[in-house]
Amino acid sequence: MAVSRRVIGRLRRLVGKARLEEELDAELREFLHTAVEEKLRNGLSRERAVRAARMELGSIEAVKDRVRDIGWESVLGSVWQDAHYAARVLRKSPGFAAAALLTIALGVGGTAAVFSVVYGVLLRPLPYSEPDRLVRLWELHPGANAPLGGTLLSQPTYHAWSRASGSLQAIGGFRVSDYTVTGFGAAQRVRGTRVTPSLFGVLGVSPALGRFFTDTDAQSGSAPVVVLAYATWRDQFGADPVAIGKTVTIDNLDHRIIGVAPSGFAFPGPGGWSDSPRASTLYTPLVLPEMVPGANVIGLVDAVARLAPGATIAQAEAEGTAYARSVARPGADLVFGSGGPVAVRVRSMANQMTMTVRPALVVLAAGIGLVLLIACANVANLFLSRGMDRARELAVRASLGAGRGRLLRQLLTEGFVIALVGGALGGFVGWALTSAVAALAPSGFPRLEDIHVDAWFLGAAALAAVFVGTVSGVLPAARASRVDLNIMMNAGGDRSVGTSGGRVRRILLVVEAALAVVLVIGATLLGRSFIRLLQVDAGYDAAKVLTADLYVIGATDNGKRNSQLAVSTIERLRAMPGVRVAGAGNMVPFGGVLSSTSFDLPGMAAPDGRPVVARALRAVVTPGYAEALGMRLQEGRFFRPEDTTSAIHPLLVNDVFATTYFADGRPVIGRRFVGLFPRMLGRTDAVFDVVGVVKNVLLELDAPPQPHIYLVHGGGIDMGRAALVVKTEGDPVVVASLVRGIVRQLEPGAALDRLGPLADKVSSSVGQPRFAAFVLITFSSLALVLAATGLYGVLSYNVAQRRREISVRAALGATSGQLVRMVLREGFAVTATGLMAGVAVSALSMRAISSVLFGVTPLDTVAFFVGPFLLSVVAGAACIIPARRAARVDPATALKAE
Amino acid sequence: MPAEEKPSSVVQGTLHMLILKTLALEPMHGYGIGVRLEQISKGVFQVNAGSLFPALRRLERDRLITGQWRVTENNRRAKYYTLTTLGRTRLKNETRDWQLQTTAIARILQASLGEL
Repeated sequence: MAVSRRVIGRLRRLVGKARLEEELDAELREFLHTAVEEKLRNGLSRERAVRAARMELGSIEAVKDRVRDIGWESVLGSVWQDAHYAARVLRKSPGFAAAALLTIALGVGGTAAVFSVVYGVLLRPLPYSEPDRLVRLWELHPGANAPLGGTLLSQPTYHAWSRASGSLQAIGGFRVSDYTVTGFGAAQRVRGTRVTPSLFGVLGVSPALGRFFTDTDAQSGSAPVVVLAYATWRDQFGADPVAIGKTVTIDNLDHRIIGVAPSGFAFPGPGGWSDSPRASTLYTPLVLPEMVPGANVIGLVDAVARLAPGATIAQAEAEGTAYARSVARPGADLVFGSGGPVAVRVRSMANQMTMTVRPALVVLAAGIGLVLLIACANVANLFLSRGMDRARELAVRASLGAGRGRLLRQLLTEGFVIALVGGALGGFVGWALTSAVAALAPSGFPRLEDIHVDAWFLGAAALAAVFVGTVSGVLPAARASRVDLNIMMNAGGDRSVGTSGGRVRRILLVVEAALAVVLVIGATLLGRSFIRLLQVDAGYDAAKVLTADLYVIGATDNGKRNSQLAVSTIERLRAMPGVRVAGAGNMVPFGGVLSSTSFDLPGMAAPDGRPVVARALRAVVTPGYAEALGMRLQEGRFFRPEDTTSAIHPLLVNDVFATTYFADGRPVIGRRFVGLFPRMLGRTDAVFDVVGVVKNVLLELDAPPQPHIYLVHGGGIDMGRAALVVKTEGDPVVVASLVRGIVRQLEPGAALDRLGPLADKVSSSVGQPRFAAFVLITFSSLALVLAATGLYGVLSYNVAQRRREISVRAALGATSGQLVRMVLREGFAVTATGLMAGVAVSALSMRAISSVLFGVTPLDTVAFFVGPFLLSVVAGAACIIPARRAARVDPATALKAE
Repeated sequence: MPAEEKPSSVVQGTLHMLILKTLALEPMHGYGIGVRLEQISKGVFQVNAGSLFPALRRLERDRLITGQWRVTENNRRAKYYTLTTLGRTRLKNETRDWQLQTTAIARILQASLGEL
């Protein structure tokens, strides 16, 4: 009680400082007045009385000063005074202040921005209740190369586990799917998720309106129902509750709307585990039927679960593995590959979601960490140099009675003032950078909506500023406060003092140079990866190509109808102006669908006499597809229009297929296979002739080429799903509306999806590497500039400090060339040491980013050349000005000036 | 008591005690305290403003005395200091300590070999 009252009293006094000051004034005035009166009474003349009283009182200012010094509240007061003083000092040296403030603003701003991103994406809890208990579950056969990859749980395991589980509180399944919705205006494809009724419960969300699914909804044969995402409800129904109970036509079935998911809820969320950046707009029940006995294909599901309170991931894995081993899993090897006995993996959902960008973000964080360190080193260096300059001022203050603590406090305050102002500027820089990052980030970047400037961001900025303030303030302050009065005062104009400080500054410079080299090498690696990715020969020409997926709904045989619609569409398109070639196929680059198949190659035998089984991507395309994509022939020919009706099916194979399966030296063209694909064609006497070999087409840029065959559409071979490929004369965007019009005319219920230039799809596929490369290149440029500034500052300072020595040398006959070399040697010594340290650190650490590299090794020669080279150039440029200044020193003036 | 107090012309550490004693007699303003100390000590102690005001501020801070603006006998305003209960206790303790010490010091100074 008493203590708090005292504290409050003191604070009030501190706040009411002006009032206190006034009171003291009045008191002293009164003191003087009374003293004068007294003297007058004793018979002195007024004039002498006043003088005597004044002498007794002494200097009023001194008295006030001593009174002010009482109590700890004066410490705060003097800090305020220091801050004032610091601000004045900084105003007087605008160059220094600007350099320091800019450095801090960039360092702090960058750190805060990166922190916002890293926090938003990696650290901010998922928008579900108690997200740290949410896990993903999947099966694997240890050691197997799973053909489907991915993270899937088999349905037998799912059912067994969800019936009784000790370690999981609830388990849910989902499947991301695309729907054709005809309820809202023109038919459109939308992304949605089919979910088991348990899933919303697992995530711990309640509907904003209506209800979620019940087990009855998920029984096959029950009336179709749908839950809308909040945004869909808002956009299509104006957030009107009347939507509940209405019907929407989804995949040509009327679905009754039973509920609306809460605002901000999206599952799996954009970019999370799915190939598309699109968020789910609706949810339908997922039916997971029990396996029919005797079935030979295993059902699969994406599974999430909520751990029971207190249960660990290891317990859940053990339990899941036991269940997976207790159930029949027919055909599991087809999905999971053959390897060790089945095991179940359980991993935190947040980790799984951000797995793809984690390496890039770690690189980003490491990069900005290095930049911040360089910034600190630079500011510390600036302060050190100034500390040397101010040594005399400090010595004077010390000799006038300022204690060491007092001097230290003043220097630290100056550091903090700079850090705070710089930090405030950095806040703005960071805010701008955060917005830029959110704008630049590639589509499909998970949790982009979770990146924003908030209290965490400001906290990060404040911490970074305090960090810079402390690091850059403490060292120079400790050094500067250790002034030896005698040396300082006697040294007078001879400013040779403090050369020992030169070592610290040089070490800081070496560190800066090393960090900059590490950053430049990292940036070069990422930049080269990105360029490599762009330079990949994808086997097609994306320029002026338009692609779109086509979906017919409402027919029982969608595949056939899709093919027919695609064929009619391209026929109409070919007659249109502005269209060069049009084709269609079931697989296009970045179409997201790969259909792989295994088949016997009749008539060919492996060395052991068994028939050769080929495994390849099998595309069904129309004539014109290859021409529209700009595919290249190795030999032979592409498909011709008459091929679609020919009795003999022509076959195109790619480079990899030819070298893998036709490596016996016989010519590839003209090879004939009878009875290929009996299941697809329903007969065993179909004749296939290889008519051409094409360059490998990469459907995804960063995947290695696979064996790939092309069949022509027709004669019993359907495309199934169809994507249009149109090569245009001019801008493909112009033709897009043409395509839309034709399709609407031919089939009003058909939906076009992902209609757009292929070049855009290529470009967004490299969004993430471009983003990483862009960010790191920015950081490393920043680092180079900072390192150069640091080097320049220190060398200039050294030259200024050594003017006398230099002029003596000049007077004694040193040529200007010798003087330049002298200064350069000093700069190069520092740079070279930093270079070597940086290269060594890079060699050890670049392996850490190998997962984000493409086509370059972590020890890429070019990068390890570019890094040191760039730093040398920048360092050379930073040294040359001070060196020339040294050469221009005029011995006569310099010596006279001293 | 903070260690940095150095009343110049008074025995070290006693200025506070003397001020407290003066105020124990009657509330008084700054100038009055100085004059009263000089009077009572018959001119032995002269307290200058540079020592007096910091001491007053310290005592006030430690809540041993409180200041109050009042009208003086010649109709001017002055800050009168009054002893608080805390100050009274402190004065009693310090007076006792002081007497103990001075007696001891006096004994030491008067000591001769024979008495030991």
